[in-house]
Amino acid sequence: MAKKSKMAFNFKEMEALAEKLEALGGSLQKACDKALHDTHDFITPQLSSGIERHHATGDTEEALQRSPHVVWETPLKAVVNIGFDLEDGGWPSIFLMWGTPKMLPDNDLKNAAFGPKVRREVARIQREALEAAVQEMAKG
Amino acid sequence: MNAKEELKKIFDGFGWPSWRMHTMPQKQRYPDAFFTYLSADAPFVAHYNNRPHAVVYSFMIGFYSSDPEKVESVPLELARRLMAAGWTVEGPGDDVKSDEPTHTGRRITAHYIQRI
Repeated sequence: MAKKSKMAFNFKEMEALAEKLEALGGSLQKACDKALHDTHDFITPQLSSGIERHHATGDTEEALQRSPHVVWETPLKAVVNIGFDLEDGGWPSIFLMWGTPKMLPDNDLKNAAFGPKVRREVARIQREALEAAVQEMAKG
Repeated sequence: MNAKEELKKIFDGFGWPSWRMHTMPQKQRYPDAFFTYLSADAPFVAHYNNRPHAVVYSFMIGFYSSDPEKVESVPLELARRLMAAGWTVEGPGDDVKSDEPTHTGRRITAHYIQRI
């Protein structure tokens, strides 16, 4: 099985919003799919611009997973592919993001996916996607 | 004892040196085997009574050696010792890049919960 970087839901009010949406008869799966697509669409361009400055062969850039693919790993856990496909040329991204014993990492590249600002923004994007689904159902 | 001190104590049990990731001097020759560590995250958790009551310290821990057998076996033994000391270990680890062609390495991620 290919090794992928993934991101799941990342905000506190998720459970309450999910309960509200289901109580209104909305599709939690559809809302989660959209929230995770939005997450992917927010992070991927930042990684794309972050990896450009490391262009040598272009293999790592090509390993960036540019199309979102949501997978429900269990009935209660959905994830979306984010970042570089490690089994398809993406390994150098690990070394760039985390450095070596002597080499500093590229923090801009790391923060494009894992930085605190990005995490806060991802939480906001996901919350808004679910809130929009709840509001749509509430309108009837 | 804080998380970093706990970690250093476990490294010392193996008898090899350790460095914070990226701080090995450029001119330093790689020893036969060594550890690196990096504090990757430290969120407050267990919120009640309007304050957090614990911190989860997450460390990325590297092991490098010129002996490929050690690179496979030591991270597993390290994971075992960390878990015995109360740490949570995510898995047996991933390959990591070495600055020297003579060495290979693996990295594991481990978490330590400290009550505050």
